[in-house]
Amino acid sequence: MPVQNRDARPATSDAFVAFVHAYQDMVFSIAARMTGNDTHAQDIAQEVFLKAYDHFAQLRTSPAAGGWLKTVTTRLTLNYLSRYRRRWQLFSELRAEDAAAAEDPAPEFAADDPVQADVESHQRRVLIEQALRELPEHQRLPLFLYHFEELSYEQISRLLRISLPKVKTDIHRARAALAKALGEQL
Amino acid sequence: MEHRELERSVDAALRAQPMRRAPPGLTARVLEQIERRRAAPWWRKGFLHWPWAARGGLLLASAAAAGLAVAATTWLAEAVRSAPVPEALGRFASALHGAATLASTLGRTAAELLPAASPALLHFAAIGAMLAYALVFGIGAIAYRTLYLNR
Repeated sequence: MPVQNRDARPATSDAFVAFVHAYQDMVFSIAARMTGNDTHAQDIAQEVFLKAYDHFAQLRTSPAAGGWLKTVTTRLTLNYLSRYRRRWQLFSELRAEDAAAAEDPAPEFAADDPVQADVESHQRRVLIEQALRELPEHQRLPLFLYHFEELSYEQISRLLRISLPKVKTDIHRARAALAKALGEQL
Repeated sequence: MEHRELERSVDAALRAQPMRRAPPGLTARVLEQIERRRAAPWWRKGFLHWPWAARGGLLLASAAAAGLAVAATTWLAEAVRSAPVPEALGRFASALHGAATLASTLGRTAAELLPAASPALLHFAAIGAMLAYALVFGIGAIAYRTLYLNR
């Protein structure tokens, strides 16, 4: 069934579905690791792909589509988190949603082959994801941006609008917390 | 563990981490949302999605409203300047003056009484005020949870 994007150029739904399938793991991974919450990550991923749909005429043939999606996901996640933080958390969703995050099912990985996956390395990956999820947001975000997005301390400081020493301290504490959680497995 | 060694180990562990698998329903959610957005009437979409005639109409109506607001303000200013202050405004000004006098009297009385009060009494008063604040805060929180969150 053909669908129309904003520019009214025809775009087959098959092409867009293939596009979503190709990038959904990447978009979801970024959002899930930044928020530490799979439910939030799904909402963000949906928002990202709706934006991608609006620009699909350009993105479908662009070699930079992956980079565009990465940037948009990071930006939308930061916006999402700052909106969430601004809410009156004391009374509302904070406890309920944190409880929901704690109840998120064990993460699945795109690269895992259920037959050949090495059980030990799979458990280690799950342990790392859980340790990341349990970090406080002010440590998880800079750690993610430094190690996964390869941003410098200065770039993170500008992006998150926090001082350079605080970025360094938070990242160091996050690494120490991960090392403690992973123990011998690190 | 040394700073550098810790950074290297964490970096290696995180970089080796494969991507998470997206939930199976994500594509369906996105397509459903696109369909819902497409089915929405034009006036519920963003301005850029409106038909040209509607966009032009809104711009014209906005310009007319702005013109009317400017004309009304000018007319009101002229009317106030030329006519005596209406009685209602006079009553309002007098009530305002009364409130200011009351506030000033209360302030003067407090300034005279406070130096004479014992520190213990001041502490009790401060604790009382904090308790009253906490009580109102608690009632607000309970009302919010009961009336808003459980809707």
